[in-house]
Amino acid sequence: MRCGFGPVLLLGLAACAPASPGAEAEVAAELRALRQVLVARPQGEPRSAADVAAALAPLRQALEALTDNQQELQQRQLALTQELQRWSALLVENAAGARREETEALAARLRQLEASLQAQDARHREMETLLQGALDRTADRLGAFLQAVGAEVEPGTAPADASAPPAVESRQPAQPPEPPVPAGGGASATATHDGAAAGAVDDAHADRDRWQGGATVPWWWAGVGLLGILVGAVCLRRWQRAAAAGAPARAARAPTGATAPDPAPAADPGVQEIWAAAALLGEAVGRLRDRSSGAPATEDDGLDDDLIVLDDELLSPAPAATAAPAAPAAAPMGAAVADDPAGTRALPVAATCRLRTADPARSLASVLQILQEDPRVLRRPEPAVRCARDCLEASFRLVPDLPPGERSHLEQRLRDACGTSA
Amino acid sequence: MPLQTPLARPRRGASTRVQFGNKEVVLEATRGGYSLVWLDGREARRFAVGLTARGTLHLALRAPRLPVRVVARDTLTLAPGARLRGYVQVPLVPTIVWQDTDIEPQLLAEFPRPELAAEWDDREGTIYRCVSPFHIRYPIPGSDPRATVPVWLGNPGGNVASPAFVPLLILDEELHERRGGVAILPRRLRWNGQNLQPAPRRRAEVAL
Repeated sequence: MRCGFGPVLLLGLAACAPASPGAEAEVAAELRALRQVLVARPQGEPRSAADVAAALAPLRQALEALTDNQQELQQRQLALTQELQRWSALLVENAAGARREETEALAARLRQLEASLQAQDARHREMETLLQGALDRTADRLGAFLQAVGAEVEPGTAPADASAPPAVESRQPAQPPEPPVPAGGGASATATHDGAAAGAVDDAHADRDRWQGGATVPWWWAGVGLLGILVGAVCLRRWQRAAAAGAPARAARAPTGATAPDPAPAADPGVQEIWAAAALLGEAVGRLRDRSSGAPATEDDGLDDDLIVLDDELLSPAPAATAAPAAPAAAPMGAAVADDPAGTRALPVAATCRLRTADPARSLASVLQILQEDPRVLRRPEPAVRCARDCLEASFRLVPDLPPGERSHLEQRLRDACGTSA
Repeated sequence: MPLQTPLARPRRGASTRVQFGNKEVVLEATRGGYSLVWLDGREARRFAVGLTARGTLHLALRAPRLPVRVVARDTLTLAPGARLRGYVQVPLVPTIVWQDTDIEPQLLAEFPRPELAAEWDDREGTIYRCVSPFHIRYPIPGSDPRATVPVWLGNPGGNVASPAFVPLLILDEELHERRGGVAILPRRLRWNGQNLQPAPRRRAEVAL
């Protein structure tokens, strides 16, 4: 548009201008120049494209560099991804291995527990067998003993197997004594006797069967009862010994609330045993009284159970726990405050420290902060710091029986806060 | 952390480190003695220690040697006749104990806990005051050495009780390691109208 508007404007001006040969020549020259310009303009476009290309050459280089960088980043990301995959695989393998080890350990533990359970079961069965055999033997012996006693008390009645020979001898005094015969040949031996002897032996067998069948039952129960009484006596004895051994330890580890336990009674095990027995008796009597009176349970009755439920494990001292406090029994650094807490009833003496400082305002804040944060200084009564011209006077109270080294360390901290070394 | 941790004496130029939580103890064998450095996560203290040829060192956690008033972060309120069970925690004091064959164990160094603020009370004397949440489960997670105290609070009176603190006195012999933590025997406390007082334990004392 601009290219066409210029010649038209020049033609219009030339038409309006006065006609003169110089002007016409000038216009013609201008027109030629314009024509040349118009002719030359299409040829200049390739040059401008080349210029653009030349101008964009650095950009192209930058783009190429960027592309190369992008490719390098892609390769690096690919390598990182592969590395991450390898690490993930390695982690998974490790986790699987650890889990497998745990599983194997658990399986081994399970097998061990099963084996112990089986051994314990076998022991229980063995004990049951032993007890059953002992009961049977006791019942047999008791039966034989009572049979003998019955034979002595009632000689006219048919005796048992143990008294059979005297009965035979009383009926046949001239008969020589028979040689001993085995138990299996008893029937054939009795068959050689006459009818009376055979009848007596039959009576004896009948009595024995009757004894084993009917009268054994109550005596067997008596044997069981006797054995139970014996076992109870043994258990009672063992329990008394255990109570006597555990009473001092319980007394030593059972302080009530904020009061320390009195170590004096724990020193005498006999006294402890008596006290434990008395406490047990009192508790049993109290429970019996409560049950007999039918009174509703008071608040404290339920509280004991709740307390046990709270953490029952804590009430049973473990062997490691009893061995643990060996070191804490160490003597304190100062006086015997830990042994005698009542010694802390005296108000600690106030300590006063004069501190020289060049900047009292700043030092005052630092000293107050130290005194309020240090655990060796009592928070109440509050530490006080008075400010003079170039001196601070700090007044505070320390924890009882603080070693001199700790006190000196604290005072040095205050001096350091004031910027003075001494 | 266990109640006792042996602190092996290092060779010349070597050191022994024991770390628990954000605290650390370093024992170094130096020329002429030993150097003990205590770092509580924020500040460090150094002790120059002289030891004999025989004897052992160990790091022991001890109970506060003064009565402790545990202020619960949660407000405790008990209705008339009500009871409340839970757990509070008391900071344990790390100490370095020296044990020789001839003498009884001695406290070589004590690192007081800043959580235990010492105060003077006109009635009870010097006490410690500390703050603890009122927990309801045990064990309580955390690496800070603390003793967990099961408490039973009862209000037998006829008015609502809101105690300001839980008074405790813990002895070293009472500390037991249980399930990864340190615990002591339960404490029974009863509101008497003004504060909590220890109530007698009945069943536990006669436990078989």
